[in-house]
Amino acid sequence: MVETIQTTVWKFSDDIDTDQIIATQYLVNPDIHDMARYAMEIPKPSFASSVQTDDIIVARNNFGCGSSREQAPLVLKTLGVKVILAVSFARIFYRNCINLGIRPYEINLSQYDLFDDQSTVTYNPQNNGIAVKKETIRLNPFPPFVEQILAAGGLIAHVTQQFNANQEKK
Amino acid sequence: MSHTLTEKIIAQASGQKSVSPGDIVDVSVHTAFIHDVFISGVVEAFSCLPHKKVWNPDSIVLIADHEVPAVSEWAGECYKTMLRFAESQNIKRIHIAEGVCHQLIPEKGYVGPGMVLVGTDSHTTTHGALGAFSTGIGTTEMAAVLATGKIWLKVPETIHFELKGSLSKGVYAKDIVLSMLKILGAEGATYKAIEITGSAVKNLTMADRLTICNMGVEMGAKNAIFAPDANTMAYIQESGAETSYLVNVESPSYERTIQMNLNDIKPMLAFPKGVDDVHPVAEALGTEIHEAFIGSCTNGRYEDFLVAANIIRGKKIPGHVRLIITPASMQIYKRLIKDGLALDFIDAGAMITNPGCGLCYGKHGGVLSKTDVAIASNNRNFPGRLGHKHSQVYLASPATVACSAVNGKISSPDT
Repeated sequence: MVETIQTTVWKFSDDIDTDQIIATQYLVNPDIHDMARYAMEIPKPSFASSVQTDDIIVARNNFGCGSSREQAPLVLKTLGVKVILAVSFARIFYRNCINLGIRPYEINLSQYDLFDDQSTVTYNPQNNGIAVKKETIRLNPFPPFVEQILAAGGLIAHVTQQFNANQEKK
Repeated sequence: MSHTLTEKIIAQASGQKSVSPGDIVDVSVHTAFIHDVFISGVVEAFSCLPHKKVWNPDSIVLIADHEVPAVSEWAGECYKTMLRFAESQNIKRIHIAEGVCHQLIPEKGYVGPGMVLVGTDSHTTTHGALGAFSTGIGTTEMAAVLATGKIWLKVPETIHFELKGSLSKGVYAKDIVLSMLKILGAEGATYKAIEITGSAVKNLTMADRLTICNMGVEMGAKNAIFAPDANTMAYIQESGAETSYLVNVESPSYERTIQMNLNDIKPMLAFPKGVDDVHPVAEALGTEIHEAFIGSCTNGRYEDFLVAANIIRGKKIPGHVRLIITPASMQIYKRLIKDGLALDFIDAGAMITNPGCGLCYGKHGGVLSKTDVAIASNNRNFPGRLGHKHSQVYLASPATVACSAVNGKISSPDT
């Protein structure tokens, strides 16, 4: 079992909306891997080609605001992003992350300031800790109900588990 | 200490005696709607679930509004997916190219006070205008709603706007909501409910309330809501919506109350930097514009066109301006024709398009070029939203858009 993950930080500022995460013109692309090549095209053109599995996005306020398009968290997931830290998230984006099995953690502004773009940090999924510079940030755990969805790998898997459990009871 | 309207509706729909902010509850959904852009995603996610049938076909609405008429080779497949899903699931409420979802839903009576409504469009906050709890959700979440008829919700805290006074000449509901955005910012109500009350509310039409709730999401809100009153009930009588979910509130306690005197509000603009970069129109007077747009789920209603036509009638739009009129539904379009407003717009040099969302999400019917400056009555002006990433969009009321179109430059309707 991997105890800690060395990972690269991709840092963003305030109000990164879903049009910036994936622009409307790419939504018609039926291939999510192809669509993902255009993720963050406006705010960070190098993102889609350079981001690695398990890299962490660190954003300031209102990350994922704008439309309800699920392709926004989905392209990030497709590129290997499993954890997003933000000072605040737009609510539909936040729910979409949980439903897709991505962990959206809220951090405070001074924690946000600790992160440098493209720096390496150490993430420990066991204890929700992120070692950055000389500090360790403890991320707040999700409510048990939300953790159940995340643990199942997303909402589809969770609802399926519940359906199957109900069938067995019958 | 009493519960807010949002808390009461969530409590009723989750079978609880009462709920408080922060509680996570499983809520029954009364109406769920899906639009064309996301129908494939929803149907695909639904097919991954073991449930073969939707929970209740009569509670589901399918609307094709973003991609009409077809903008790409992909659009036709969206309609077909929608038609096939409707047929296989026995869904009767399906509307292709009849109007924008946030106009059709109230107009067709699919939303009534006290209901819980979810939709795949972020502007689903609109329907709080009728006293419903209404919010936008993603495609995976919608698939789970279709299967179970339920959604988990965290009960939001409520920010309260108390409106008093009355609007001055040339000032409209759009200016109220832009003023709210100026106060709260684009994230000021994130995860929260916005409830609007006060002595001024009785003078706000349903069209006004729909405009205000529509932009609740631009402040990050989960939902925005007006308590139902005589105006609401008159509207519902016409639309034939269900009224059995009605709940009453008495002196609720809010997270915070913001008082607004409508007499103090001036015509406002959201500058191209973003929805919350709000300034009085006076600060941008004289800025040359190239496109003017009146339409969208924010301001594409009959009342909006009446105001605009009264400004535009008998005048000519300058040659460098494209004025685009997009009624939010066919019913509104027909009224524009019957009452002669359509002719007023055409004679002035405007284009009238079919009802739809094309321009407002930068897809078709008015896409902006790199050097274009537009003034528009819709709800968003993110970089690149309406076209090229360097194009500039000012958001305004239909009256401000109409005055600016006539003059070829940003102008104020209050002078």
